[in-house]
Amino acid sequence: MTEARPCRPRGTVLDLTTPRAIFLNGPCGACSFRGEGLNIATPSPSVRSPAWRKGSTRRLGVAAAIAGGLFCAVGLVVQARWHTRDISTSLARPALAAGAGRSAAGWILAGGVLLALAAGRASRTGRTIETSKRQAERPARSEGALKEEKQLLQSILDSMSDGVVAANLQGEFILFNPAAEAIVGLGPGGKGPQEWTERYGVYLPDATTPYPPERLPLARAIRGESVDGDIQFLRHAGAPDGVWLRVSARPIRDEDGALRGGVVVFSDMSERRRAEQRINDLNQALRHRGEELEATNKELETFSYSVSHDLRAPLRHISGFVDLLRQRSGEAVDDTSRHYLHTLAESARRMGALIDDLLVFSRMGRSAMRIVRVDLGALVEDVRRELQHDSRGRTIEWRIAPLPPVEGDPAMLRLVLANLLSNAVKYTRPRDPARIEIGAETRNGDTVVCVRDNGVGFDMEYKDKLFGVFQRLHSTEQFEGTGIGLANVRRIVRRHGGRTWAEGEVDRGAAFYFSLPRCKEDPT
Amino acid sequence: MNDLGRILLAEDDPNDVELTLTALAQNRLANEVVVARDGAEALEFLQGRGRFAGRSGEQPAVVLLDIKMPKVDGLEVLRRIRQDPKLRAIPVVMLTSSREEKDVVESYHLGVNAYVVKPVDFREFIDAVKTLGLFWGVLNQPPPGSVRRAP
Repeated sequence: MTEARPCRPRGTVLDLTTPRAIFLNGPCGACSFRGEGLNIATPSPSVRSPAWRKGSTRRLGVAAAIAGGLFCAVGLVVQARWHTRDISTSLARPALAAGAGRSAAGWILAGGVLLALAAGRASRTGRTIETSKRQAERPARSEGALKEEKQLLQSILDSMSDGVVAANLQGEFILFNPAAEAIVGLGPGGKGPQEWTERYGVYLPDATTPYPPERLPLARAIRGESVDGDIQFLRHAGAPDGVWLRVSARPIRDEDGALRGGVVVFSDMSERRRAEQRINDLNQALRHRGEELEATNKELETFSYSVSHDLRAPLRHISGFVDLLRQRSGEAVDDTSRHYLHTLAESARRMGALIDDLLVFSRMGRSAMRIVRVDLGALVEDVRRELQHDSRGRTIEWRIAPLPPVEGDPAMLRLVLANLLSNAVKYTRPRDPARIEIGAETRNGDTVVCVRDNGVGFDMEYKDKLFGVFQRLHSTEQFEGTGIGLANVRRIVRRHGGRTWAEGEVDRGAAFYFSLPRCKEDPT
Repeated sequence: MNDLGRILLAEDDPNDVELTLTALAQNRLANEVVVARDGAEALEFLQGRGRFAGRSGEQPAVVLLDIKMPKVDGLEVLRRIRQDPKLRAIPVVMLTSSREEKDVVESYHLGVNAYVVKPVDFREFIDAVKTLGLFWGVLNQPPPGSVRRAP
């Protein structure tokens, strides 16, 4: 880029054989694009390219110059060889798309690349030819620079992932970069905007309504309008799955502001669109699951409510009337009958306890948690004091190590400790002295609490059953209980993001562990 | 012993009615118990409507309300009692099977005087009913306008 001065488009580039591209030029260069036959350029005086003169280059590439914040540029390919004479003839041909204006320039900001396109035309065909001739014959002044610029622009157009398509006022394509062809799945064609919708299978975002040809962004740009971020869907024989495009368009005007054509830049949004669709589907599914969950929760609530109310009532009646019967029959009842009555009452009482436990368990799973810093040591002390009532007359050695503070729901954690400690007290009943140790350590950042006893232990074969609902490893005669305690422990710890596990051996004690995620802040 | 206040028992389950009345009777507290079989009937009694039209104007010393009842449930009865200027002062005790926190919370929110969960064990149930009868029917000084009879 040797020229740093601002420049205006001056020359004309025409593709004379096929209406594929016309191009621009500025002081830096000009060329046409991709014609099958002869491509011609009429460079401005500042453009020099031996390639042009020699006609030996297949592609001149793209030239661009950005100087002082202004641009002038142009890209083109000149294919095949050409001679001055050819140029003249060719140029003479269609007064070419050229019109009366002198030049037009458009720019597109795409993919972060400022691509400057300048299209210019001589005001009179004759002059154009003359100029072209003259210029073509003149030796280039800075051939190397021009070549470089052209190659740069061409590389940009060729390598950018966005499609760039320009058309003149007649709706003839004057630019159709490789990305455009790749994205659309079809090259340039069709006789103007009226045929584009059908040829390229353009649809509105509903993917079913054909795009009104007059509203196509390029058609609007040719009428002088700008379009930003239009979404359209393309589906045709070459792209059976369809392509989603995001399209922006600008009119191309010459230096006097006269309309020259339009240019569109578009990107392939299909992947993004599919990703969005996937996200939408997932969201939908998630919402659905959420609603289901909510419904299930509601059902569960209703269920536990009816358990709470309706199941308890008949139990109360059984127990009540058995008692009344006992009172009424008094001593008249024989031992067997008395035993039956006792069993009836006891069963009702036990079922009441089971229902209560089940309700607590259900509540532990759904009630809101109130997470605060909890002093485990104080909780343990509290629970131990409560248990003294159950352990009256027994010798229990408590070994309680200092316990770290944790974060959790105090009422729930209290229930965890109450279950583990009361189990320890219960299952050490045959021991004298009973020994219960409580300790904690940090593993991988988690606080792991252990409650160990020298009680009757358990067979590790059944360790998976320990934490199940109503699962028991001992008969009620041996050790009373409903089998909900450890299920509660597991549920609570899990809700805190921790784990529960146990080790034991028959007659040699047991150790129950639970982990809690680390406290977020240090105590101050 | 003080005079015994009239008790309105709103309870739809005949077994519960029988057990409650028995419990009261065993403690000689049952001589002035009115039983309503659902919430609507309880309100009719309190407002002197329906089959209670023209009854004497005195109000019970306490209303024992079950929560889950046909037609009008206990919470609704409580709400209407508290909204009615003529009834709002009457002591109301929930006597229910429900331990559900939302029932407890809502009852207190509506201004209940006490909330008692019916114990499954009959002896405990008798104790609870006896305590209630003694406290609300005898010990507690009800608002003016309620009935007191010698037991």
